[in-house]
Amino acid sequence: MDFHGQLFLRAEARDDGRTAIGAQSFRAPFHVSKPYWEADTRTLLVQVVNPTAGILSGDRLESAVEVAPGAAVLLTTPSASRVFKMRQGEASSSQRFTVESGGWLEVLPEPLVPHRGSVFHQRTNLTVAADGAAFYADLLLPGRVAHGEAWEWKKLVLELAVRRGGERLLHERFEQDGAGLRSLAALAGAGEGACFGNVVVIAPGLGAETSPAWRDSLHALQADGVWIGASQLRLGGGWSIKFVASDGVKLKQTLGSIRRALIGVCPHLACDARKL
Amino acid sequence: MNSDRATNTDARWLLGLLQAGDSYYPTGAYAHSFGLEGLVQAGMVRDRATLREFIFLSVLPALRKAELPLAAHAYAALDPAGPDWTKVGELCVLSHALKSAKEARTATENIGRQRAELAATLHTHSLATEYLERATAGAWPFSAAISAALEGRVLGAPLNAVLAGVTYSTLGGLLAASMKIMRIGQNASQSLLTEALARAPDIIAAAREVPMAEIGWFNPWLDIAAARHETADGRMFIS
Repeated sequence: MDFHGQLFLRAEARDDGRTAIGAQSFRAPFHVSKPYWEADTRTLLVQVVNPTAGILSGDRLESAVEVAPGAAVLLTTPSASRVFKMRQGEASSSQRFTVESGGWLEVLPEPLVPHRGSVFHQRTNLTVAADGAAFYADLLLPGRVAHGEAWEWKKLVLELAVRRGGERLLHERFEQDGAGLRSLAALAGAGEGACFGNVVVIAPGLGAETSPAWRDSLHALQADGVWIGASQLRLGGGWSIKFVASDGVKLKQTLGSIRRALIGVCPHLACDARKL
Repeated sequence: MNSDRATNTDARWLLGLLQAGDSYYPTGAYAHSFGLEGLVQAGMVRDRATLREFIFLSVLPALRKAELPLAAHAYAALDPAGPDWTKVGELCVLSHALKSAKEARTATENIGRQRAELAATLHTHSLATEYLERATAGAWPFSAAISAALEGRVLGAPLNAVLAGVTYSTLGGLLAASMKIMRIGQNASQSLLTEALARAPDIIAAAREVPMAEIGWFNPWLDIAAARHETADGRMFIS
């Protein structure tokens, strides 16, 4: 059975300053758990669950998340997104995230795990108001490494388009078959379990400084199988942080270190996603 | 072998592209390694074998899926009979948005600006002049690939020749840089260039088929190395 899953969420700031879900609708395989208000960081944690085993051929997932002025949301998932083997066809996911004036959105999903023979296309559009802020993370594992399966997917396309204040900051397209990325990982000496992380952070205060101290902290993480580099996006509108780790544990540890290093410029990153 | 005499028109664009592709042409490309220095500093590219892998696994795919399609779409939009300036502006912005690493944008900005200005200065052609005027008015970023398409239109060169020029200048520039930062000699470098150029016809043909919505490709390790190169203690190249 093919799924045409849909998710719509709109988070709004209430009069007391708390963020609440103002509107929502979803259809399988999407499900939204009860949100949790984290008072310390004044952030609403929202967990999007896919109760099915994973993504199958023919699945088309569409999601739209809006953060209204002054609202703050951490959007996460409880488990990895598995993209299963496809004898034919492909699966796709279209994600649209919008952050309005003074809003904050962190998108922190668990990793994507493309299985042998899978074909998956993910399109992500992140649109942030000039005085809005966002932290978007994508994590990619090479496959079911514990089963000895790595870099066996047929085709993977991850598109990420970012706009801030109406200006196009980034339009990345990661397109690789498993064999191609395996060869690049081998060239880098990254090993069979190499995992990839891609973060974009947008915040009003990030544009002014071209050599922030936090970048030195991030670059200092490069050691023991971790590669990491941060560079400012065009128009000074935000930063791209890319990282590779030799396994999934190190990948998540590195992501945790990135979030902690940026708390000074994005205080909502102090929100602990594991409280759910 | 075609033994027809070259026409004056053929000779004009051919000589023009040779001039634009020569290291003597002042584009400033000699100051860039296009990320290679960062990869050498990181130990990923160390010798001829790893340089060859990098070219075939990263440089050629990036040409096929990003730089050449950009040039091809720009060439179509810069049709002298009726330029589509809106699309040219979109392609200029896209050319920078495709690059997350600041140094990669700096490289294409500097080389693209110089190429566009040279096209306007050396060849009196309204297309190049209008491009510069519109780029200034619209605050368009400059792109080496788009300026190469402009050069081609100004010279009257066919699309395949323009794309061949982009391919050559990309590979030639990278390999010229490699001789300054690695232990690799001229003959080894030329043999790699020859091997890579042999792939050019297929890559150019594939690049012409890439729709605008599918332009783009990146190598995570190259982007990371480019980002770290910005803060390297020592460096020979701007990028």
